[in-house]
Amino acid sequence: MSQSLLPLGLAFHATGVALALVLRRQPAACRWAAFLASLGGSLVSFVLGASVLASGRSVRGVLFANPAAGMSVGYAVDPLSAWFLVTFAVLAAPVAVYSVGYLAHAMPPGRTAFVGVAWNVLLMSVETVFAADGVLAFLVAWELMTLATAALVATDHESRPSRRSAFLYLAMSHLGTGCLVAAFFLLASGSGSLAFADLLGGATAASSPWRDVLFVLFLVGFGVKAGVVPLHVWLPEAHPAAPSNVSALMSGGLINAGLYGLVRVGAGGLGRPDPGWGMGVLLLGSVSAILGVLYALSENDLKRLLAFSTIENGGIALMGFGAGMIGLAAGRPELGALGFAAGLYHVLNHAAFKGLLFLGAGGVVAATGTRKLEELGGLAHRMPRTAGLFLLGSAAIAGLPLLNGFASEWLVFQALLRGFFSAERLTRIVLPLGGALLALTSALAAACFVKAFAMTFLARPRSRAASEATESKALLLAPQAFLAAACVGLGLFPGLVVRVLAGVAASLPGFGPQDAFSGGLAGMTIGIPAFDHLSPLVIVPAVLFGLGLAAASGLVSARARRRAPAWGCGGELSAETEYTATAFAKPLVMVFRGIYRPTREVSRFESVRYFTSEVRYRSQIDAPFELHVYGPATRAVLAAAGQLRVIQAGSLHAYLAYVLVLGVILLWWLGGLP
Amino acid sequence: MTTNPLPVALFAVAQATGFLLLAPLLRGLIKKMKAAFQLRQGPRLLQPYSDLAKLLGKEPVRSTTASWVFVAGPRVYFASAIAATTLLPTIFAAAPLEAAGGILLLVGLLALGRFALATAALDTGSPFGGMGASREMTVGALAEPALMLALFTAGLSAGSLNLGELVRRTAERGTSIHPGEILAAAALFIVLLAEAGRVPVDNPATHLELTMIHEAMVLEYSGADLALVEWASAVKELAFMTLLAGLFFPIGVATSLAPEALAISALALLAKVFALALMVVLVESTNAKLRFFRVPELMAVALGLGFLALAMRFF
Amino acid sequence: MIQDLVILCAAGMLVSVYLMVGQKSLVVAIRLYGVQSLLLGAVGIAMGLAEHRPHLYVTAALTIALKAVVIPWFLLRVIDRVGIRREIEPFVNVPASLLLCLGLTVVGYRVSLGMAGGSQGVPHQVVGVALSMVLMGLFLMVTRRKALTQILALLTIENAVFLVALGATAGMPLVVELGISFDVILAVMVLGVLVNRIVDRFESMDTSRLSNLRG
Repeated sequence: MSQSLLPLGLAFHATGVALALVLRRQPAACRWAAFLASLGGSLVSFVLGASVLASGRSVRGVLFANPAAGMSVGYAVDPLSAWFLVTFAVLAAPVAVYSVGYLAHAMPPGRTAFVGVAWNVLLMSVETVFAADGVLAFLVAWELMTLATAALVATDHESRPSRRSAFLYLAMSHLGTGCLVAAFFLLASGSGSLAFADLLGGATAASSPWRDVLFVLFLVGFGVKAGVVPLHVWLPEAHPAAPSNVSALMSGGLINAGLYGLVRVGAGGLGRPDPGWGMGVLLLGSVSAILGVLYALSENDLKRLLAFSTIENGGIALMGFGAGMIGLAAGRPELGALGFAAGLYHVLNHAAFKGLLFLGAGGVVAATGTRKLEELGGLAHRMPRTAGLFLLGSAAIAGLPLLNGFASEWLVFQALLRGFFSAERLTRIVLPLGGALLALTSALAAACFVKAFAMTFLARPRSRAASEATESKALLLAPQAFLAAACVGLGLFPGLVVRVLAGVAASLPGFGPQDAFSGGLAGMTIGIPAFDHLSPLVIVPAVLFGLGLAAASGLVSARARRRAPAWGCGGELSAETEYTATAFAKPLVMVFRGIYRPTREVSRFESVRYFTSEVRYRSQIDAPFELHVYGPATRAVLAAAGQLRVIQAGSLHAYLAYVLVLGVILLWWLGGLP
Repeated sequence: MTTNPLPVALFAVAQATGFLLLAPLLRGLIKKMKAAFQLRQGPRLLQPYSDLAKLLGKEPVRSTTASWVFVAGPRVYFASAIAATTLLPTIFAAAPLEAAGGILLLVGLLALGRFALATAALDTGSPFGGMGASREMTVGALAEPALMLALFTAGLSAGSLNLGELVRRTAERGTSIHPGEILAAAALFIVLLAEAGRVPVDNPATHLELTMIHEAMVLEYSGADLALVEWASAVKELAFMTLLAGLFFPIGVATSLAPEALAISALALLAKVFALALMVVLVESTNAKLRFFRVPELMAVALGLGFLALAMRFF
Repeated sequence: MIQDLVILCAAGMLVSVYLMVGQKSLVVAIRLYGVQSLLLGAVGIAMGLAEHRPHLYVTAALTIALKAVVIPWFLLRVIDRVGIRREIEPFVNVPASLLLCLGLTVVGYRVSLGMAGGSQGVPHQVVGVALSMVLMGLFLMVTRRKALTQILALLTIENAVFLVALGATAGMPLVVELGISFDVILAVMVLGVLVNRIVDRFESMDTSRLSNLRG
């Protein structure tokens, strides 16, 4: 039965594509059909993933085969693939429901069919990426995923920034895919088979002299998709440009494709990892985390803020993976399992809270028409439910206890600190430093999301649009409530999640059955119980007790609660006197100005000679990677291409002559060879 | 660890109540000692209790622009402080709810309180709230790595991150003070100053906009809301001191339930807290408050101390 | 005996290409192409007889029908419609072209010596002929101006490749053969349309005028 689940799921999506095309003249019916089909497909893949995780046995099958050509496209859902499938489904299902309501208002009706088709193609290809068992299926699905995403990013193709974002995304993705193709061919040339079981089972590459090259190629290829600094430049452009439901899926789901690849390769896929690899991944993860959160802090565009935060969370997951690889390299699989489990847990949690935040942001953008924090405000009164759910998402992403962000960050901390007990000196220095960096990142993320939530929802509206916003419909709120419930559930019952993750870790090559950590209903603990454990449920009564005392104090005090305007030191308080988003982040920008390198420009305009009538202040933080890395590289490439243009004579005969001359030379040279 | 929840719950409630009752006394003590330094009489030792009672009896006035977040902020702050106290070992070498978690959970709960208060501060629409929240989150963000490193040093040297277990192991091993641990204690002391909003990081008695951090956040609160915030701040301060005392100077902690051991332990704890309060007063009286953009340098010092502590302890 | 027949036909194909190079009338060139394809079909039939593979007969029949009959007819129609019947002075004049083609034939033969005899016992001369035809077809494309001559050169190359395929593999699977045939038909039709368009635009079939389109 479970054999046929993946084809069934893919069939649902294919049906969605077909229905979207057929119904393209009726936007409402088209929306419902396409996204209900997508929901069905997600549910089926969730069931598949859950069943594999529960039983611990892989499900294999063939999608189609042509024996005459010797080609077959098959799938193998092992526990790792199942984990990613479940994560993706947990996000994709509510987002599909959300899309039905969102697209009704946020998009011209003629484009609904396009989005419906591209959406289902995207989901289909992502599920195939997670489930593919051979190079061919994987690469085709990967490419299809890239194209579908680019199409969705460019949905609003009238606007130039959207087109540019889609183009940047395509260019960077192809850079990554090129590296992947090279790496796969390098691997396959050694073994002659194209199946993952052979290539990434650990044996093939273990003795290859090209191991380091292979790892770097895979890292670049998958890193582009995962948004690892310095390959992340497409992310802050592409995620905000897409419609909010697509952004939610991209941030919470497509990043996972890159992370999935990294786990496959790093967790024993190329044999036992080198310690250098683990360090490199840890370093990249730390840099991504800290830079991601710093740039998120300085952003005033709500969706760009969330996009940078995605880079940060990807970095945190990578830190877990890096710690895991270091553990594996040192010959301690229990450490390895801990690190990878921490990263995988964070991947799931990120899907939940990032999805929630993007959906909320989508509701805000749809209600007010603007993404800028400097134009929002006061929405807690007009959109109370969205505000409450967004607050929960912010608390989750800030890593506050009782929610899921805290649970996975706790696990990453454990992975980093446990590595401290290894023998190697470098590891002993680097890992606790990583822990300190993670603590800094977490605190900065809290600051960032205080800003995001407060500027959007609290105090007074800063623009007319914000003051006239209305609450989102139930169809948009219910998915957010679901994701919020997931955040709470995953945070209060981490032990159950960790139990599943132990099974996932045990299935990876190079690991055995795990007792690196254990979890029960109450909480989770790592291999040495006395070291540390976490049971959020136990602290809940204490928190409730505190809340109860606080409520009791209310009973003791005077009954009436007066409302009065806030004191403005004698002046009027209005939207202009409120603290702005830039101002909120300013102290941190000043503290970290070595990294931001802000530029500022003050210009004065005088009308009468001695009285300045207008002062203009402009402060800007430039994107460093685009300025210093990609800019010069692109210019160099274009310059070289300009030089090569000479051979493009424009004459048909010249081109044919090139072919002839080349052919003759080659034949003469090779012809003498036996 | 007992599987019977009733004694654990009673223990937790008793410890939390103890903190609640003693925290204002600590505040009063510090004010009295500061006044003594300045050759003043100062307010009564029990004045904070009167202040709290007065505030609880007053009517809270809330801004017209504020939403439910403004009301929830102090309550969540209070609840997180209370919950944090149940994770600390005080007179007995175990924390009541140590089954919940250790250092990381403690730091997380404090972060939760800060998050709630900062968010609520932005709800009034007044620029003071925004400024206070922004500064508080900055200082908090910079203090966290230092805090983590100091706590990790203590935890890793004892072999456990769970506070109860940590104290038990240190008690078993005896009290050999390692220079690395002294550095970590120094780092933790600086973080204590930051978290409790004491000079040189913040002046708890000022209401000038250029100099406020914590006070700016809570400027708009009144009545029961303000009482909760003040009380929770005092509890947090006492909790930090207890943490510092318990982690780095676990002398005299009771390992059995014998009444004499408990009495000695209680006295020892009071003495340690008194000593710490004295140190705080000394620092407050001999230093000027730092300009806000110098505070990150102080935090960097704490971070450096923490890192040095870790390096010294283990290399 | 069959061997000799095959070699004879291959030689005939080579001669036809030489003749194509050596003269300027487009009508004659098309007819030469038809003859070439006929010879190719003959090779197919001969191989079918020698190897006792009936499907080669089908292949040969298909070749003759499509390439010896349909395509020349179509191309003659294109010429009629366009009204151009002669090639103008090529980039390399005719005597020099013939000498260069001789050189290319030498290259082709040299390569064929390096290859082992065809797996089906087909003499390496056939492979040599085919390679020479490919090179000469390319040469024709480079040096002639008229689009139609270039189309014929392309078709010659295709014939050469087919010859090698017949020789080396004793016929490709029927599916592949059908596919290729339809590809060729389609390509010729598209090219015919293109020729019309070129003539409409530039009033001549001279493809060197296409560089005017360069930005």
